[in-house]
Amino acid sequence: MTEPRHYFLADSLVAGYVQGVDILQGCHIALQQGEMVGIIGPNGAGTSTLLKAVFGLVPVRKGVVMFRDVDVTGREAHELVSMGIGYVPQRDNVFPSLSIEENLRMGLYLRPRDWEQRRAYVVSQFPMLGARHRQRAGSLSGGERQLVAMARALMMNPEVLLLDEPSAGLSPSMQDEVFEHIVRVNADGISIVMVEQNARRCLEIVHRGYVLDQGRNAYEGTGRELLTDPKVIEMYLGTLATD
Amino acid sequence: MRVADLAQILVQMVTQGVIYALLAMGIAIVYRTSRVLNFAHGELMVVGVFVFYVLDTNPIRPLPYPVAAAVAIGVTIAIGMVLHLVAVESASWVTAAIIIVLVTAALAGRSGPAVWILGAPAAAVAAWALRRTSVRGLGGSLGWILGTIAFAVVLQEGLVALIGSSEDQQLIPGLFSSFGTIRLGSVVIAGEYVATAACAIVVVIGLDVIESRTRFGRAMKAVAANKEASALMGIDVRRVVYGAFALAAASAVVAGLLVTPLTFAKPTSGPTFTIIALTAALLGGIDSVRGAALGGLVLGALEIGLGRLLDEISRLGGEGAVPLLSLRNAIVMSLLIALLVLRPQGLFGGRAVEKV
Ligand SMILES: Nc1ncnc2c1ncn2[C@@H]1O[C@H](COP(=O)(O)OP(=O)(O)OP(=O)(O)O)[C@@H](O)[C@H]1O
Ligand SMILES: [Mg+2]
Repeated sequence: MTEPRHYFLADSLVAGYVQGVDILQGCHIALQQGEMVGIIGPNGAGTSTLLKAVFGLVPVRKGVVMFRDVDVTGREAHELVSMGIGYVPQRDNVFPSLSIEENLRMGLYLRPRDWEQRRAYVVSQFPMLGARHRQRAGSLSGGERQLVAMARALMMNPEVLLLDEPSAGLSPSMQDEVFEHIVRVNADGISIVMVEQNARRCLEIVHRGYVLDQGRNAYEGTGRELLTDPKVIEMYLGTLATD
Repeated sequence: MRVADLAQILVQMVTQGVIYALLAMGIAIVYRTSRVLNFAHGELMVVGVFVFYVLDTNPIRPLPYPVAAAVAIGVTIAIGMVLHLVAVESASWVTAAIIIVLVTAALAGRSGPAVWILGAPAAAVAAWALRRTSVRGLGGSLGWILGTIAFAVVLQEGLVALIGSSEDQQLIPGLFSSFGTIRLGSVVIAGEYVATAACAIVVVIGLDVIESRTRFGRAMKAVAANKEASALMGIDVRRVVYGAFALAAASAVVAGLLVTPLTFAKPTSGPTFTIIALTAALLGGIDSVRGAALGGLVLGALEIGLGRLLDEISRLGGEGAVPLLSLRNAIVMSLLIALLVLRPQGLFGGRAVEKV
């Protein structure tokens, strides 16, 4: 058996915040280049923790994170950013006291020279950002903020984007808009790992999905398989589907 | 009081104001990025000044002013970074205890340089080892409060041990000491003060440009707003915090090199300057570098102006009148407390500290 090339992989991750308490108890996710993968799970399953551990923001106690066959376990967030991985956290994902444009500039901190080109790309993806570039991010609606946060992560032209609950707290129409943007970003060749509470909508757009429960993998499969899996429907989709 | 006097007083007010501004900016630069009040800021300044003094005036091999100043700044930057490593990042009960034991030993015996030459590196190594073995730091702010205060004592006692008695006043050579007076009609002002103020203004503006216009300044702004989010921008937060300590240390030495030729210096002057820097920063707004600078300007000018005013008032009372000058600090402190009650963010600080 030959080892497959690991594009992006988190294997047997054990991680937690407090000594002696493991929130993740051996999680596994893999991402192929160009793929969009969804992670769903009940509240507190550890989905946010998984992204943070992958991104070097929570200490990893066991397991590995690989990116392009390089072991990046425990690398600090700023190193991963420079390697081409972007992360949009669930909360506090913009600088509220700065304007939209300043937020985007911050996103390009490591490569200020590419400003014109990256700004043009991001504004073409999110036209609202160009029109309102002077507005303070703190005065934006939740959905608009989410778009700014995503645009900010895209400034560095990442290969892989980790999104934590991009639709949380948004109106249904705004959710639609955010999901459309995500599909378009993925179609542009950026591989995506997305955590979502809105399980049904998430599984409808991703290529593959993982269901997490109490820090462990419970199910995995293509989006369609999970959407039609009776156990998944019973445990996660029946109650979580909102529309 | 004559008009001629007034001009000189005004020049002194500006000079002291700008130097205090420089000291306060150092406090704000560190506080914004690390949420640490550096209780050793004055000691960094004094250590830098004495490193310069020894290099520049030693009879064996005196170095030219610019070289001695540059080396002093470099050494103090290094000490500032060690301060962050030992007293903030690795602050733990055990570190604090080790430093305190050393300090008490030295205070008890004033045992000469040997204790310091062995003790300071020992404390640093111990702190580093503790960090490696991941002994948890002190919760909350107790760690850095104890850490920076202990570090301040270590610096001061080290200096006393190496330089000599704590009451030795040294006249520090100044860049502008040879400047004469400037005469405009009947108005006479000391050129040294004018040049010192001008030089300090240039440095204050330089710091402001670094803070508001450069990439490092942008990184400091991001870290001040939100550390975790900064990391997502690719900012190395730890490096930025070290950079802030380095910048603050450098600015403290520059302030020291400018002020001590006008005022003399003692190895034990540190705490005085720490209090000045903290007071000025709190007065202006500790969460804003510009606010802190303005606070320094106000405090420096106020001290000189109030001092002269109280002098004049006691003089009106004639011989034997109560000298009022001793009231100056009490008045300044009362004003500060009143201000902080009315405006906790300081005179020029932004609206309530921004939560991100
Ligand atoms: N900073 C923290 N310190 C200590 N424990 C934490 C911290 N953040 C999260 N936890 C704990 O870790 C567990 C998993 O949290 P996590 O945020 O990963 O959940 P989640 O799956 O993202 O849930 P949600 O859907 O509500 O966002 C929870 O029990 C939570 O209490
Ligand atoms: Mg979460």
